[in-house]
Amino acid sequence: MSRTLEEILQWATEETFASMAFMFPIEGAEAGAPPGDRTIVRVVFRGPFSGTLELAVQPEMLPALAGNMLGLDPGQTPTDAQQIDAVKELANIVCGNILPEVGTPRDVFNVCEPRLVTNAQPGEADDAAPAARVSVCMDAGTVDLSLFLDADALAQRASRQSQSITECR
Amino acid sequence: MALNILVVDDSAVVRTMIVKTLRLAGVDLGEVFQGANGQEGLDVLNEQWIDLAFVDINMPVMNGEEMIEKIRENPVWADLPIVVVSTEGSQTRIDRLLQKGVRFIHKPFAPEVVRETVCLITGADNVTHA
Repeated sequence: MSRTLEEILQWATEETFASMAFMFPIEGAEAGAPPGDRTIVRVVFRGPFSGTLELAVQPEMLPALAGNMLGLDPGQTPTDAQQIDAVKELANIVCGNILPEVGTPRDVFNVCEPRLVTNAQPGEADDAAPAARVSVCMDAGTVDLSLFLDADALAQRASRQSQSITECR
Repeated sequence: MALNILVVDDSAVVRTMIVKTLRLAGVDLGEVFQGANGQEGLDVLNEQWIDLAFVDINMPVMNGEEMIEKIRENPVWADLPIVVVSTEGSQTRIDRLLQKGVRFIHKPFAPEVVRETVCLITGADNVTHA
């Protein structure tokens, strides 16, 4: 049985943050996004279906994210540019990892350059409701992921899931 | 023999990560050159002798796939060992890259994978065992 979109988002986020930034989810942490400001990055992708991945982090996480990725010594502070570059790259990696799972491993997508979004709230891209949304509580803060998909993607996925259920029977 | 390395990625953070990983893995590094896109990578190749290149795929100006095609078409660079380090998840595109004689490391990557890949390419001659 294929994973839900939420499970895919959760998996890709945990893998990416653990491998690249040495940040790990807190087991048993209460789900849900705490209030407060967010630094938001969006990645648009186009292919057999199109959409946007949005990654939002608490701003206070940024120095630790970039510092861990760069391997800085304690006391060293990454520049603002490095902090933004780091969160953009994390969004890019999460996006690249979810696409073969949401679609199929043979699908080819063009992934656009991650874009820092200002004056926006998480989960509001494309003026549409996200197809999936998760909040991952990490030791350094909370990461919110929203996945916006066009209608084709949702139809293809529903069709594949229905085929999978039929095959199981 | 120390290896001259070229790292091409539009993220400066990732370029730094790759170089740091190589150093921590005990790879004997000579000079390290960087580029933010395929064109900058080719510009470095025009000027410097490079032993091993790490190349991202999704980049502005010139993407990694186009850069690799140009390298393979050039008799001087055709045999350059190339490691693609990318989030690319499409097996179709990965197969196409592998046919160009590159090795592939998927992001997010573990430092051991980078080390093992360099060992495979260089025969471990340039890697100090930790």
